[in-house]
Amino acid sequence: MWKIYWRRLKRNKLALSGLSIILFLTILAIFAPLLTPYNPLEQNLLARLSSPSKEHWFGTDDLGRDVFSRIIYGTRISLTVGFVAIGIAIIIGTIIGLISGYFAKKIDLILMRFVDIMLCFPAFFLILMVIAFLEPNIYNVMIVIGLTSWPGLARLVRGECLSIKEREFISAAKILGLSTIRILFVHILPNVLAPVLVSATLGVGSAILIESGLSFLGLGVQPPTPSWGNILTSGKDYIYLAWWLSVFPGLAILITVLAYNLLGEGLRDIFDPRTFEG
Amino acid sequence: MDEKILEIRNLSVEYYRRKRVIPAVRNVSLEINENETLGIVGESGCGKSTLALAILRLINLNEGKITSGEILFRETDNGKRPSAGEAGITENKDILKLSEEELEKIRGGKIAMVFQDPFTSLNPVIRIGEQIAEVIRIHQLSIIHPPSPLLRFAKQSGRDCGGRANYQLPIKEKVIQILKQVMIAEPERVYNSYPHQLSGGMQQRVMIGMAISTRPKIIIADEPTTALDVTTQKEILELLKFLRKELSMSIVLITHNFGIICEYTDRVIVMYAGEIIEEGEVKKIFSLPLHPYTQALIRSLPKKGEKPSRLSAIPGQVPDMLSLPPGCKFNPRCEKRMNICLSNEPKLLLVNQRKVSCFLYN
Amino acid sequence: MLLETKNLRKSFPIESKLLRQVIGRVIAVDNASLSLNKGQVLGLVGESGSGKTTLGKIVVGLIEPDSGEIFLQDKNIKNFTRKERAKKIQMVFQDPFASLNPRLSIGTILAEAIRTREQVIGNRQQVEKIKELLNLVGMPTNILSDYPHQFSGGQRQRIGIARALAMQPEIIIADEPVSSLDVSIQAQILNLLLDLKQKFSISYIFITHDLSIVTFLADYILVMYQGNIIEEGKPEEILTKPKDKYTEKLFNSLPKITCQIL
Repeated sequence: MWKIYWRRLKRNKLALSGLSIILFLTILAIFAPLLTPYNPLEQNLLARLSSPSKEHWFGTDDLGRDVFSRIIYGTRISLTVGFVAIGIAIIIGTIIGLISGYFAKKIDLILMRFVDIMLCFPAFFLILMVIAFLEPNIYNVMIVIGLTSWPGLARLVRGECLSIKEREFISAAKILGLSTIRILFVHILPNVLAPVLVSATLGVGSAILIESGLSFLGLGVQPPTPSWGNILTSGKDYIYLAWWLSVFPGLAILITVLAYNLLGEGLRDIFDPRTFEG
Repeated sequence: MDEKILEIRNLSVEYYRRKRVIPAVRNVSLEINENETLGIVGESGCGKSTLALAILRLINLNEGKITSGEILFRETDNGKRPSAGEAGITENKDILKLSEEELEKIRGGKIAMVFQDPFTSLNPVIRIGEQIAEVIRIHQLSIIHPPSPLLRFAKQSGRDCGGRANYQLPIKEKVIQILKQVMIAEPERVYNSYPHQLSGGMQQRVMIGMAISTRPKIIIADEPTTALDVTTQKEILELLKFLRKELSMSIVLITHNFGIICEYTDRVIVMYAGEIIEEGEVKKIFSLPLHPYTQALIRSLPKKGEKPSRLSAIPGQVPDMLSLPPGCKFNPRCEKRMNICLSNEPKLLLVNQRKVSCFLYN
Repeated sequence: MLLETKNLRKSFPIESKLLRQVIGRVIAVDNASLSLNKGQVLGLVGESGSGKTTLGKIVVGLIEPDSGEIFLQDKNIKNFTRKERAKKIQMVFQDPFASLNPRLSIGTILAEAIRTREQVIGNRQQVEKIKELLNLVGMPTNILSDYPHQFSGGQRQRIGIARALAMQPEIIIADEPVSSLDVSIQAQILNLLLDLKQKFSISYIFITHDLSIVTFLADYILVMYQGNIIEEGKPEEILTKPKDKYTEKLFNSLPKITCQIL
């Protein structure tokens, strides 16, 4: 099964380009210490706000720190937040969606109304409120983004689950006397995984965007730890003086989110059963 | 009676899937006579539905194409009124060479189709009456029976002089008449119904109504009763049989059900792996099938009232069109296999007034 | 008496589209009583909507009846746990494309059934068992790591039958097991079911709309119409002198292969 998907992935240029950018970014994040010419925290007050040059590819910021090194290290934050937050969302969303879809009736009614309420709130506003009460740091940011991103996934999983539980192989599993847990996780879950993966991939992009937004507002990753969001913040005051401080982190965000969206859209085509060729 | 109305010569259709070629129909030649019911029978993937689609050039070009052959449709030109003693001018048109415009006139006009699942063929948000009326309107000019002068006038002047009501009235009457023709008991109610308000059998009647609304010469019915219950199935087949006589059409009945073939067709074509393997009069084929496949298949059917301890089954699987064996395509499952079957492909030859493609008879 | 049902009744609510209020009930099965002996084949005939599939699902435990009782070997079915019931009654489904989980390999599908029956079983023993099952249904034994989509309809139906056999059931409910298969494959599967009946003296409830199949297979036939069993009897009796008008109509609708076969 997955072999077929892999073959189709290899032929899908959209997904492939997204995937290669993401892999490239991941390598950057992992090998950041080896790839960066400077320590991202090292200040050099003599070289404040110097424009991009041979020494400083992306220039330096107001404290003379190398922007290139800071952006590379920022990749670590962004990718980690994206993965962990969406990981949390997948776990919660899938479990709630499966339960809601499989048991239907009252449980479904209650859970789905809760999902509706969650979806009614603008997520960003909710996150802001929660972070305002908690201490703003990377862990809280990840958890809060995760806790607010699951409702869409839950609804998706529920929908899939509703149609899959009517299939005959689920009846067959019941007739074999299998436990409900086994039916849910061995028989239904693998069949909903494909759309979840698509949605989650797109979700990683938006989680990265939210994290950047929070850091930009000073509610996310705290300086001096570099994150794309807070590099942007430091650039905002010098936007006329030092364009590189805003443009490069902005580009980094753009490319990353774009890559995830490309991959997500590509995966959607790949998993589309209508184009499935057996 | 025995005049050919449609002749297919050496038709081949291929489908493409991931750079692999599926030879869905291979070198098929057949003819359809006037006023006959021709049965095409075979299992899934044997090419019978593809053949039907190809006749009207309905093969999706993204999936495959007609690679060779001719489909000659004999058309009697009704525009020129035949004078006494002189038959209408007839003309053989190759459907595969027609322009889209000319094709539209034949497709759904002179040759109509009825599909397996009426529900997906009907538009769910348009009332039945309107859907049939639309078919009539589209083919208005090519309707064969003499159009009334009033109708023609209404159509020409319909839009500018507010004659729309005038123009609609005869159409509605026509639709009701058609609904009556397909033996719908309450045509007025059905006229105003939406597809989902009708049973499957009713929907199929409506589809047949649409098909006959343009007075076609041929109706191609692709598994018209497979989605229906047995009792409804019989009603629909009886209806088709009745209409064929009434409107003197030809019907091509495509099915996998040998019972239907036996009871409702005059002549039958048996297909296997994209080819015709046997062709002949139904009675002859059922009383003395020649091809080992036809023999085995007829033998394997449980017969009403008979109670053998086992059925005589055909071994093996339905052929995989992506990896057909060399030689005769049926050879891996054939109990009368000879050496020659493994290497050479048999040709469809005339044997005892019918055609069979098997080396046993060469 | 292996299985007996008494006055089974099941209705489904009809909900209004807008507020999901129950505005009525449609009776799917009304007062259905049947009995099945060891080694017997019971044919359940009817058209779509006659309630035959619902009745089958009630017997196998997929649907709870509103009222009525089921006795399995003279004990009320309520005294059986799900697993105990699973070891007695299994089902073969209509659509071989839907009845196997597309994400599980053939080995996993069969192993799951075997492990439900015998909790403690070694890996090697398990593989042996799977191979034995595949042999029984006439499939090659080297397909354990293959997936359902690699097989044709008839082959999948064989795998589905193997799964049911893994539980060593006494009763198999076969719900239109050949109606979605190709004509040349149908006879193979019907023969397989008959062979298994002889080998393990399995009893079948054979649900179908196809009268020619049921008169050939069944020892006893029940005709259902709109939720009711309207006629029952031996195939010869029903075939030659049907008592009910509907049964007669049903039999007359069947296209006949009238020509003499030489």
